[in-house]
Amino acid sequence: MAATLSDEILIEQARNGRQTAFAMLVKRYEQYAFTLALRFVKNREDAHEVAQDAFLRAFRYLPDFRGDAKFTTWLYKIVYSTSLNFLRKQNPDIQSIDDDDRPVKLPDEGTPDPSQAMERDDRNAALQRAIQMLSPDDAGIITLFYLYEHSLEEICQIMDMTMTNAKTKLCRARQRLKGIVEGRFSTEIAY
Amino acid sequence: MEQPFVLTEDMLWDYADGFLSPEEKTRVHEYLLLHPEQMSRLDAIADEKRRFASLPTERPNAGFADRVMAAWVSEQAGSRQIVAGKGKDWVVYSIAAAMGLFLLLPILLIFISAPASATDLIPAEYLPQTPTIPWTEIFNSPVMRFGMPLVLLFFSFRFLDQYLQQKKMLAKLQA
Repeated sequence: MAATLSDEILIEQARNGRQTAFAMLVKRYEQYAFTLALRFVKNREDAHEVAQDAFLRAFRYLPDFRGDAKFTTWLYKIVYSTSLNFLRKQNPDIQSIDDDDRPVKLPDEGTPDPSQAMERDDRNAALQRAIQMLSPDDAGIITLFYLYEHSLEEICQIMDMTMTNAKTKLCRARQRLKGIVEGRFSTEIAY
Repeated sequence: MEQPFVLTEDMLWDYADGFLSPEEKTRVHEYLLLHPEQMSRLDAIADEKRRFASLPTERPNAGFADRVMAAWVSEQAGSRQIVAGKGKDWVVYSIAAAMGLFLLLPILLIFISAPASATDLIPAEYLPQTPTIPWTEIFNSPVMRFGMPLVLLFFSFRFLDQYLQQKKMLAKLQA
């Protein structure tokens, strides 16, 4: 029954104060919101905090949701801004999570050899870890475009950037991911 | 002299992602028709895109949704208390307004019961008998002298208590 209810109906019921509608929305999108938060903040514990905050903010501002965009676009925009706020709190100097000028953060040589850890993981897990090594913005845009299959227009709304910027960023993110995969996970993933 | 067309990796990705303009798209399409051996590169990109799309999402820890709902319910309860507190405030404000009106009423009565300015033109028998109010006695009575300050003091403490309660609740919610 819950699965058949559309987002619109659940949002309407939630606006009327029905707790079960809120709970269904959380259940439906918890994995997506959590995965996106994890891409940005890079840590499961922090991602739980960010995802929870994002849901609470979404519920708080649900009466303002006009339905011009998809609910997911609106929710992911909140996840993105909550992640940005979280990262800013941790590092007040941070202005954005745009890492265009910074090199990709690869694990330092002191950490255990990733290839050994990867032996027990499947190809998907290796790709997940490769995405995790990208900068927050790169990981976010790859996740939104290729995993969640959001359009570039929607990504522009979520991450508050221009179309050209989003296109360039996606292209660079892809190149960086390829670099990581070829450098670190070439045995697990044939790129 | 026209530069030879080079099909780069990025161009192929943009082709697969649908980012190329109609002209560029046609150019790539025609190039691929002329060079079928390059199709394998496009197939590899399509495979890669499928692999991305099939990546599983990360699962939050068990009970995540319950924790979110608990936090939401707690936030709602906090808001309701504040709203209820505000409701009580209105009752207090109404009582204060009634008290103010009660204090202003004697002044209003003075104006109502004041004799007309042209009383000398009206024969004495037609003049209304205005009631005399013993204002001095009223204001010097112990009820007015001690009661009113006590009432004002009570409402001052009531306002202060409401203000401190709201401040405490807001601090709790922000924490």
